[in-house]
Amino acid sequence: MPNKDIKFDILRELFNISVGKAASMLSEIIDKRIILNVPNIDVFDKENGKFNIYDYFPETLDGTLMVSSICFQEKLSGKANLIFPAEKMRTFINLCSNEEQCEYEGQSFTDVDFDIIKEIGNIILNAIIGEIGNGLDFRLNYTLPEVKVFTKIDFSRDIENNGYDHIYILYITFLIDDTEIEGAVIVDLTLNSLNELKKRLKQIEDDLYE
Amino acid sequence: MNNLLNNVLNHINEGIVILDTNLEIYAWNRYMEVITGISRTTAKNNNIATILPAFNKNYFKKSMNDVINSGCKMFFSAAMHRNLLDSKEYFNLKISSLESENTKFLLLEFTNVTNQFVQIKRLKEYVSELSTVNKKLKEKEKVIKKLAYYDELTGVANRTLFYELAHRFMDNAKRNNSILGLMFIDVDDFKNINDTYGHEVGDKVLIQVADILKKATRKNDVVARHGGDEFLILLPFIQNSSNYKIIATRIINTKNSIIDNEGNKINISLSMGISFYPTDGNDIDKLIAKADKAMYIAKGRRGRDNYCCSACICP
Repeated sequence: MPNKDIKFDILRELFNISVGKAASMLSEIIDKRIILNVPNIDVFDKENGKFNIYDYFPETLDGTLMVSSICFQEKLSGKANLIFPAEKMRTFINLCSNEEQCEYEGQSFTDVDFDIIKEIGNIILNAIIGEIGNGLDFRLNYTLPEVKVFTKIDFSRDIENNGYDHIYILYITFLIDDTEIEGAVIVDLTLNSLNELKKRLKQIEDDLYE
Repeated sequence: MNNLLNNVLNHINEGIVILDTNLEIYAWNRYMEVITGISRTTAKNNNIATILPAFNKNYFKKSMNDVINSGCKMFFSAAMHRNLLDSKEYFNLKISSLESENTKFLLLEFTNVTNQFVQIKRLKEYVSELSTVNKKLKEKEKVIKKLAYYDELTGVANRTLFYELAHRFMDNAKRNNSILGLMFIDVDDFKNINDTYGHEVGDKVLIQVADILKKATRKNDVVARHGGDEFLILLPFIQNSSNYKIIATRIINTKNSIIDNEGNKINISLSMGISFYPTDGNDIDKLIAKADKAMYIAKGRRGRDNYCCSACICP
């Protein structure tokens, strides 16, 4: 599948450029070293059966999930979700807000914590969707993120029933100071959007061979 | 901007700023005047970074340009941007783009979230207090449990814990057809020690005897203070009733050292009696009575540190 590999390489390149920009902005905001990477991408068509999150998510992305989601419209329509394991988010939130962790905080999150995740999600997801828009010459209109906490099963059901046909799964590694967090970005697209995306990727690929 | 729109903006209970594409202030509502102390006339037509210096940061400039160019919306949390308005209060900021008659504008919405911070701070303080109280309670619970189950002087099991464990071991021995041994130990001439050296020294002797018994017994054996100078040891899972001799010898050997009290050397001697389930009875009190009897026979013998098994008693 060499053609598929090239399209994936183009997409991965686009995503890595975008998360790189997001990392640089976050790093400036919180004044800490941040490295973001998209080491791998997967795609799932709902036509091929039921989406089982366990087949796609790394083992480290387990337990309760904290999901930050934005919807986008215009030439591409869909929803992008940034997913991190809730158990790692406490350290992450405290690093972002320069607060020391209290022993009793655990996995309970306040509205202020949710706002921090909303901001992080906003920066990363905007960068990813924005980069796809720029790379593919599409102007997109998108919402501010909403943050929710899901169990893995509930999130899988949410993806299954959201009405989109295709799912891109971006594996994402987040290094903040010495804390590494493995997460994922799930981009749900309608069939039309996927076709638009494929068309533009084909054009970019053809340009590479010219 | 018409009067109605101005009125609407002035009645909104959050800070509203509208910028043109040069990031110059086009509108500044009354709420902004109140929270910053900067009037609309002072703010208007100035660059946002001149009026609010926090906006000099690169990432704000870049974000505002991104919003103008790509139509995205940006959100900045009060927790990560504490001094956005140079105020003691906390504000979240949302930036989005507007378009009117082919002219683009930026809409900045400052939402006051100070109450959330105050409530969370209070809640954290409350949880912290509860956590401290909980820790103290747990420590007290440990102390109470220790007082309820352990002898205050020697730290070995008291009679309550002894009986709880003894019943458990007895049930287990009945279920598995195994032997349960019970040793009764008494400090010889303890009254004499108390009378000669005083009760404080007598207490120290009891503490040392308890230590000797703990050191000489196995991990699963239970050493308990029966009362006064009497101790009991439960010996579960013994293979052969003659094995008690190993424990008795170990006690005598461990005890070899003489208890030293500020230069005074005190020689102590122990008398030990032992009984067994099933041969001596099928309840704990019967075993204690038999072991006690055997202990008195040992005490009556000549010499020091004698032990006697219930089987040696004539019926």
